[in-house]
Amino acid sequence: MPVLPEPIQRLMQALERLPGVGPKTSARLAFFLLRHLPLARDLAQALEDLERVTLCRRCFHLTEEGQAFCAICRDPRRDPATVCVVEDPLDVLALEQAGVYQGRYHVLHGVISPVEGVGPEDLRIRELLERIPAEGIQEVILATNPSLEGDATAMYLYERLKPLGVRVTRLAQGLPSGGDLEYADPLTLVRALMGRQEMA
Amino acid sequence: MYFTHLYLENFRRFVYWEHTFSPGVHLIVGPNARGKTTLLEAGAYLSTFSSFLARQPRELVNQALAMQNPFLVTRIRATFMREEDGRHRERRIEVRLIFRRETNGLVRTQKEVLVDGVKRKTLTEALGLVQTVLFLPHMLHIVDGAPELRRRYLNFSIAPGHPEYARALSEYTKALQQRNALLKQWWERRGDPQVMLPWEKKLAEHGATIMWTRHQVLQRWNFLADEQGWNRLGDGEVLRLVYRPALGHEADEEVPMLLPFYQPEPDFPKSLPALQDLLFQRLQERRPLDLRRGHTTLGPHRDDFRFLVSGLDLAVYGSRGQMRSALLMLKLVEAAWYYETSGVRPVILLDEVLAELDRERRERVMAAFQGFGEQLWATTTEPDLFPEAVVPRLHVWALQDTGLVSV
Repeated sequence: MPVLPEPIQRLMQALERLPGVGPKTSARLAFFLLRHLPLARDLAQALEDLERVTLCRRCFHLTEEGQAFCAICRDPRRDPATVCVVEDPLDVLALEQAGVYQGRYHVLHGVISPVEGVGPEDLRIRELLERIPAEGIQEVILATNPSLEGDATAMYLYERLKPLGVRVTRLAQGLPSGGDLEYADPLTLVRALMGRQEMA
Repeated sequence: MYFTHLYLENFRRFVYWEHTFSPGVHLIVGPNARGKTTLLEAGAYLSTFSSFLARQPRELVNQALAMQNPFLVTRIRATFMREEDGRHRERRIEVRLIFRRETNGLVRTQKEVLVDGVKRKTLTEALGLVQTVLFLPHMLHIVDGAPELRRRYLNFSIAPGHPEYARALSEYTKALQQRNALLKQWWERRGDPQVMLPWEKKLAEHGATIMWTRHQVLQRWNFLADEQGWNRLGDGEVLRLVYRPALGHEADEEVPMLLPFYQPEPDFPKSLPALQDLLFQRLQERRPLDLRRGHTTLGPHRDDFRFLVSGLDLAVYGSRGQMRSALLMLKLVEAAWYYETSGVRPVILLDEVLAELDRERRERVMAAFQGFGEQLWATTTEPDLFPEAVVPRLHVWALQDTGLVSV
């Protein structure tokens, strides 16, 4: 004999499947929503609208249903000759918040990781290679994370892009601004030293 | 350096245990199964944050209490005097093992380290602060056991003082898992052989750092042993450590006999970049074989080093007494090397060190260790093995459940 009504139980079970949410948190969230029904309705609507999110046909960033291309690809002020390759849409968000980059993107939706069964064919790599001649791309900026898998993916992409005669660059690695030299780890310092630049 | 105070809480068989130490030689006496080795293990744990005797951290938690309680904190806390800027400075360290048994029966043990009362984000930050050299009879397997034990021993010794080595090890292991996964999937998935290259590059980069460091360290150890005369085992026998890097030799290839001292192993590259290039090239050459076997067949994860006495492999031809002497040499060298690389004299922790040795060797061993450390803890069931003539100014203690009592 269940102690709670079925809708509450269903909600709790659904919430529990979210990352970082256990049985206690899911119960707390479910009861909070029960006491704040307008919020619950907004949330329900937002969740339903998620189904309208699709991928941009050019760069595979997120876009809305009915739009072939994402907001960035549709923007005529963006430079079509430069493409920045990132792991996932959140990286696009981070770069856009910096507000400096004027080119377009290409979202791989992951990194190469054989342990997890992810090979190049599982990522949007073929599509990237096709974009180079089709869009007359001059420069590809590899902006995968500076992790083992991110580096390996960048290396693989470099090998594939090189024959296409396009300029390939990698994001600089080094000290975070506002950081403190004495707290930097040795590898970061080594990379910062190797990537040092002439004072201008 | 030397410990001035050690406090244990829920560590193995001890519930509360503490003792205040002076510098010098401390002999801890007690019958079997009282926790003598555990005490040494606790001291060593503060320098490596892992135990040579435990596969899992949960084994270090007091088992009787862990069975009764779903939540238990084990503490190893020490105050010690450490050489810093030419004088001794008092420092504190505490390692906590937080044991939890979940409602579903799963057990989790979490590690935390505090330095001078401040919690550190990672254990690595506190590596190398406490330096110890631990001898356990169990470690004889380093001489005659599987190569994996010797690799583990090298990593244990080198990583604490060499963060770039520790990092290379961890990155290498990850890259190795990736390449091995690729090798296993190959026959089902096939695909582009270029996918192998990035992992081989990473393996060569980090693998070369590991091999180069091991090569340098073993050479240095041979030099130190010879300089101090520790490598002369008596009867004109001379001991030498020989590095066997897995760079694509056949596994059953003979160990070169009677190599002269300090001569680097034949064909070992002369620089780190050259080693990296060689490893990268060999990995690519090995690809067809690795594909058939389904794993990576060369690189530092297959390395070995051997103990050679007058050119003969001790693991094969040595007596038990010789192996013990060889291991003791290794421990002395380790102590000297820590001092050389960090300026800190490690605390020497010896478990039943004098058993199986003749009188002359006992005296030589104790003299060498005493001449070296500022503090030495030795355990024994037979205090008679440590006569006044061999060990002057010795503190003798009887081990109790809550501390030590002077005998």
